[in-house]
Amino acid sequence: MKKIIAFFISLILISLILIGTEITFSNKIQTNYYDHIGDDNSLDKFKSLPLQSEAAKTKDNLFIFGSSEVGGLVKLPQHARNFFKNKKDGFQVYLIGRGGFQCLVHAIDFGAMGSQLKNQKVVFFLSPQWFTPSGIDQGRLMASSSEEAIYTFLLKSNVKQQLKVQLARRISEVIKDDTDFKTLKFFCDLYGTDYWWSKAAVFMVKPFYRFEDFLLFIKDQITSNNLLIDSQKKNIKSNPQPFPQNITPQHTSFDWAKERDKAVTYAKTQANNNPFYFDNTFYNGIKKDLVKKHKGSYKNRSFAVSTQYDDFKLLLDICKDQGIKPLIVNIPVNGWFYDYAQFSITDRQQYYKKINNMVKSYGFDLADFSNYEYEPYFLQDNSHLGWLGWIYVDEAIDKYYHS
Amino acid sequence: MVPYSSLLFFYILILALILAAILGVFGKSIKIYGMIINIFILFIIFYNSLQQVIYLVFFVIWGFLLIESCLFLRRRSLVGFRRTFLQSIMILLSLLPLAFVKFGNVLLHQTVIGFLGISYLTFKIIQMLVEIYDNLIDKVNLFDYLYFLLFFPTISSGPIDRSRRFKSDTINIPSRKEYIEILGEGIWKIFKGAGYKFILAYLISSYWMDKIPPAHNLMNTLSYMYAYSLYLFFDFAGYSLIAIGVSYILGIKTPENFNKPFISQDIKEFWTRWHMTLSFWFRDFIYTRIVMNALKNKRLKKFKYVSSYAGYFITMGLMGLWHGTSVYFILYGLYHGSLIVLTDLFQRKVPWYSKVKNNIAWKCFSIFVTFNLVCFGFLIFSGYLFIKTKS
Repeated sequence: MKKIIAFFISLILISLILIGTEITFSNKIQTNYYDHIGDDNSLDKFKSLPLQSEAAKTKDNLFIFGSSEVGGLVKLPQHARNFFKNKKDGFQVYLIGRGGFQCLVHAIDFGAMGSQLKNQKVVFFLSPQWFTPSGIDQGRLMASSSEEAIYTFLLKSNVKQQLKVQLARRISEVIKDDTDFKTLKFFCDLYGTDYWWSKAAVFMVKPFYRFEDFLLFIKDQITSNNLLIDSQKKNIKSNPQPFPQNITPQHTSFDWAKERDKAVTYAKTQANNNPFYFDNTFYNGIKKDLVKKHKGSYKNRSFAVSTQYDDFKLLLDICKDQGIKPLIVNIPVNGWFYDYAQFSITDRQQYYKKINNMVKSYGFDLADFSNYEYEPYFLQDNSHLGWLGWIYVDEAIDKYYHS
Repeated sequence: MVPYSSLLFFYILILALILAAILGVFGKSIKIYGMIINIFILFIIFYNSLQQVIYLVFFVIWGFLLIESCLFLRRRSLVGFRRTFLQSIMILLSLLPLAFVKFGNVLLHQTVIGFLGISYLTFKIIQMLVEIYDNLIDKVNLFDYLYFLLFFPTISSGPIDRSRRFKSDTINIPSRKEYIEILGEGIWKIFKGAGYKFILAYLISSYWMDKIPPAHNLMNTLSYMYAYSLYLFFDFAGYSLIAIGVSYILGIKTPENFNKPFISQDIKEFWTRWHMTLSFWFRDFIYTRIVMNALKNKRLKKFKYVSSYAGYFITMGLMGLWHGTSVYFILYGLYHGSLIVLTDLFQRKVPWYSKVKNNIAWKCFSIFVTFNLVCFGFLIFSGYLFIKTKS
């Protein structure tokens, strides 16, 4: 009997400790939060749900979702993060994404955040390179998304049941050979089955997954809080002043034609040794393999068939369901290089058109740059936004934010 | 899903065990309900491998046919050489599936995939076959057979229970007061086991073993030896405690598997404290059989100690071989065989041993030496010495 009583007392103690930790860190994050964390491009930040919630609460954040152009190559002065720094245009940019963050990853995040993203400014960058036949693979999905986000989506959000089932099925499919996320796979397999018996089973295991999600959330809170402290520390080392908690928004009216000229003048000093308008350093890196490796190398590639379209559609459906009104940015590839690698131009055109039609059918804002394949300095390499490209995108963002 | 490997498994387990505990508290038999959740948990364990399920089903039928055949031999009152011969064939046949799985690479030149827990099920079946031969078991009911053999808490890696002991637990239903004590004991064991396996073993593995540099110099090897030995103990003893604790909740007092093995004063004592259910099984069904047979033979009777030593070598050798066909498993078995024989010789032949053996300093010294010999054995067992590293 004594041992049973000991067991119940320990259960109560553990529950109290967990709840206490959750409350403590939730307060800590609120006091430690500052606007500048939006500029941070670490993986912990991209995956953090508590920080994203804080950003949403500030009401003047603009979320940018994408892949490597968003959180990987952030050095260009024209990159939205640098261009709009210190709320120059009234908003703080909040970056989410680096290589591997594709439609499914962001769809999970949108669902997990759910109504918190409603009435927020959300910009979504598409990359044509995602649209390979098999789409996202398990390594990329699990490195970029998190069990926490998936459980939050499936258990806590008020997204339509049918979309949840669709998402669970899709995750099951992507991680079907995985051995590291068996617990997740078990739940997604069950959730996606959607028969009376599996529904009963889901009902039975739900308390466990809620608990698991709670533990993962606490872990995420601790990581997020450490991130806030660490990047502030790093900042103090190099800057005289710490990040302020709140940046006062400014109002700047831009002369976009002038900004474009400035960008081109700058770009000419950076990209002038090759016919593709590639950044010089990038070009130097691939120069010796150019003929041997790249010429005609995309001959058999196509954007026509890809599971990525279904993931994109799922993302749009989630937006519609949750009242999120995103701006979708349709980014082109580098025309000269894709011609050199013999990627069919009609195939490319069909891709841009398909994306545009999908976005339009949902009535979402669209920034279509598919006609800029051959615009010098639009991209800095074969696929990432460059000096001029960013200015065009910045203009679209400015217009979208103030609309 | 591997038993006890994820929090999810424990959650499902708790759901299944709650009703068992309620039945127990009301002084009711848990046997029927136990069988129902047994099937359910087996489904959870094997749900993603139809192949394993098919093998398991065939194995269970195969085992039952052999047991029935032995019972038939017993009823026909077959005696003497013919019975021994036929009985031996049955035992060899029961070993066949395990032999294919363990030594398929040698026997059939291809790896045979078995199912989780095949070794432990084989041990249980052999125990029943031998005890039928010994006239200790005279009938086997299908339900009892299935419940004993497929008892999920111990299915994957023991402890190895005995059928008669198991059956008596299913028949003798504890009173409410007794059951509450058993339940508390069970929960206590589960948490102690979880502490061993998921905290201590985990810490040793990730903050000690994984941090050892790859170069195989003396320091690293020693460090690995101690780390691996402790890891092995906490991981396996922890698992065993959890399995035993879960059995308790179902009203089955599965025997203990570990009893502070690292305070043993000699190797023989070590084997009564480490993986006890396995070493007792080897003692009862291999070692004593060899020695008894030798003693029955008039010509061998003179060589009492020699046959005992041969028994140790064969028993330990087989135990090593049971882990697999790798050289280091066989060496591990022979190493322990030699240690037991040397210990025995030392204790019998060295005149001053009987004088010092109760001395406290000698006891401490013995524990120290035994601990290091045992750890060295685990170092052989780990295969660490046989990994070629570039350095």
